[in-house]
Amino acid sequence: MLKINQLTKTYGDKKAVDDLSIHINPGEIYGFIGHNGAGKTTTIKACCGILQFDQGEILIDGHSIKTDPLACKRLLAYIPDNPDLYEFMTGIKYLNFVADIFQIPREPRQERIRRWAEAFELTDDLAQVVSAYSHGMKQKLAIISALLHDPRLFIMDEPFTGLDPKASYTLKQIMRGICDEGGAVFFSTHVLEVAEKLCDKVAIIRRGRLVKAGTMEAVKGDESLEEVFLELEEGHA
Amino acid sequence: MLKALIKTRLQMAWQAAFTIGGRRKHRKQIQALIMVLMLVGVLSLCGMFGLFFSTLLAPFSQAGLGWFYFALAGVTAFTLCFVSSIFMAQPLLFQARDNDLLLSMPIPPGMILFSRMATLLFFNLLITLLVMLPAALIWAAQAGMGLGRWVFFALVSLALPFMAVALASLLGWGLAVISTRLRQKSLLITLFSVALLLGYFALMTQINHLLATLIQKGQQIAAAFERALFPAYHLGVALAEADGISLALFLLCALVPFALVWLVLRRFFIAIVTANPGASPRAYVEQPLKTASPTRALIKKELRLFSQTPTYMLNSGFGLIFMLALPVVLLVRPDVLAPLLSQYDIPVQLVGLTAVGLMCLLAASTLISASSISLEGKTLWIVQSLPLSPGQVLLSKAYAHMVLCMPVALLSGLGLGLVLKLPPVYLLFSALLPALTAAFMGLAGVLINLKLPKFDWNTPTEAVKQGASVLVAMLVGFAVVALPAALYLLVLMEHLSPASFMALFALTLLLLCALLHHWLKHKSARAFLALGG
Repeated sequence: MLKINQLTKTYGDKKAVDDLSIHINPGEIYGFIGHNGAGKTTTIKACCGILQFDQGEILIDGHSIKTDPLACKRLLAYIPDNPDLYEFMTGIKYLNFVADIFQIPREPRQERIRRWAEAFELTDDLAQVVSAYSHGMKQKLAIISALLHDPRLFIMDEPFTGLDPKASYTLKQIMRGICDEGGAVFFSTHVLEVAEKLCDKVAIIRRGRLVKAGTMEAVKGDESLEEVFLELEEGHA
Repeated sequence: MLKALIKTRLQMAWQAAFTIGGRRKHRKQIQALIMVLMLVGVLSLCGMFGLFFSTLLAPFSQAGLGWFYFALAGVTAFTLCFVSSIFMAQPLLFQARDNDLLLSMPIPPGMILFSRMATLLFFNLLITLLVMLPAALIWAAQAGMGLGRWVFFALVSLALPFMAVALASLLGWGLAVISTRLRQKSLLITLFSVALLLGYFALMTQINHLLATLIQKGQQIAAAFERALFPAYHLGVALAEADGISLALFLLCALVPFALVWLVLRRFFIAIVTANPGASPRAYVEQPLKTASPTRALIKKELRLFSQTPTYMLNSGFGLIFMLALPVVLLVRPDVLAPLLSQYDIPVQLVGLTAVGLMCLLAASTLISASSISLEGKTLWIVQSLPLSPGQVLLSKAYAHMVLCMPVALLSGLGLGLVLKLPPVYLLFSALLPALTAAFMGLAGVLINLKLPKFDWNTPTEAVKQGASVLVAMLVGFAVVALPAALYLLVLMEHLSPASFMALFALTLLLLCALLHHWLKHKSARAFLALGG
């Protein structure tokens, strides 16, 4: 579903991502962990086609993000680490705008907005302007908008930040549901307990380079993911 | 602590005005260009005020009304300070992004408020000097001014902004209170601003008449000033006659209201800045949703942003107001132009050419698309991550500009042509050329903003007013109209009829529009992606 091959991205003289390769298969929830500034967000943005990269290739369901970005973007949904949305729109207008871009017909559009807004308990607030939303409400709106076109690949940067426990639970259920239907989820997180419980596979990145990747069992063995992560950090310090 | 707060505010203002965002190649040259243009603007304003006051000094001095000369300068400075501060006061005092941060620190709210009022005072001092310094220099050149009087001048100039800031802060408080209770606050603020703007320009059109009245009826007006405007009278007497008592009275009039306003606002500061914006929430009731094509959805989004952001509407849509107003004013007040036309016996071709040129200049001064990419700010990821081609995104911004400007340019141009009773061929061009200029500016504005984006803004005002792209677009707009006009008047007039020249100009604009459209649609992908880093 998502193939990152030898991705390299530099900012000036600094390599933010260095020769990174990760393959994510349909049906997998793939966690992406690393310290602050490790290159997680850069990798995620490159996967979504909003950041140019210097070397390597990113394929989404066989389409190159460099040469066929529109086909890739029709398949994926992206949620950034900070849900900066159009503050001048109401929640419903924002969702309708995203649905227009994906050309979702009226009936399924109406049904999906109703379903996801209810799931995230945001229905009553859809008439409010986004500027009046709290951080958590904006995050919920960003998630709902990302779900409108039934994405095959869900790419998220710290998706649980700001969500209340019920919304976090709902999101986890949705992530599993997407994978059960043959899609895939790739997300970064600092909450290692969540990654440990939720992910089928995990990749640990440090200073732009892949340190360890594989199934959760293979990466952590008998230890907790937190212990493995801290050992790897100390080992490279 | 207070010093640190004020310093931070001023640094932020400096950065907003002169810092070019991103890793731009010619950052220093662009910064230098902005500074030079600002300096030219400041010197032009000083020159304008100098000219105004040089006309007044001799008649007032001869009539023994020296004090009135300075009183008038003081009132002018106060009005300019107040007008420039009213819309700045509310966001600066109460809606700053660092409200939560500063309130969480051990800083008294009164000090936070004072540091922000001090920033306003600083900007008002600059405006005061723009007016008062030319007035003082004219006085010094013609009547002489000793050291003592210069000290008085410095004290008066320092105190004058306190009055304007006190009044603007009170009004800002009122706007902040209204904002928390109204749904259509954007519309209200815009209407209020347009009314103020039109009032200002109505005053400007009457300035020669006012100047003549001032000189003729100086004694009566001065008497009215003395009775009604106590602070202005004492300001004038303090400077013209070096009167210490008047100076003390004026300083009291300036400083006491400021202190009172600060004391009152300090009391309500936390309540104002922590008030929930917007009217009471209403629950969403499901309605059938309207669908649109991606391009149409993008244009609607741009139009919504424009209509919901008063600063954007007022600063970028400036030309629209005048385009609409010009034919209406000439229809209602034909006496404004009639004497001019009959007195100088101007040929109809030249009238037509001037009218078309004027409408084109107004269309070129409408810069809606020139900050439309900058205004994406932190939301740029949305259009970059959605399945939209760069051409679709960029052209939608140009189309939104055209949707707003072209009908106005077309109708106003036609209206002006009809009011001026232009022949049919001029009538055609008076509608066509402003509309084509608007289309060109829509496309060129996007291209310029793509090359000179400004994403590091705190308020949309910074993106709209302080972005280098707006300045460059303004210059390009002026050049695209003024240069061909100058070329025609100086070189081509003998060889080309006005109608042929206008047809040639229309063709050139069409060609430029086609080229820009092609570039934005097919060649902009790299530049658009580079916006993300």
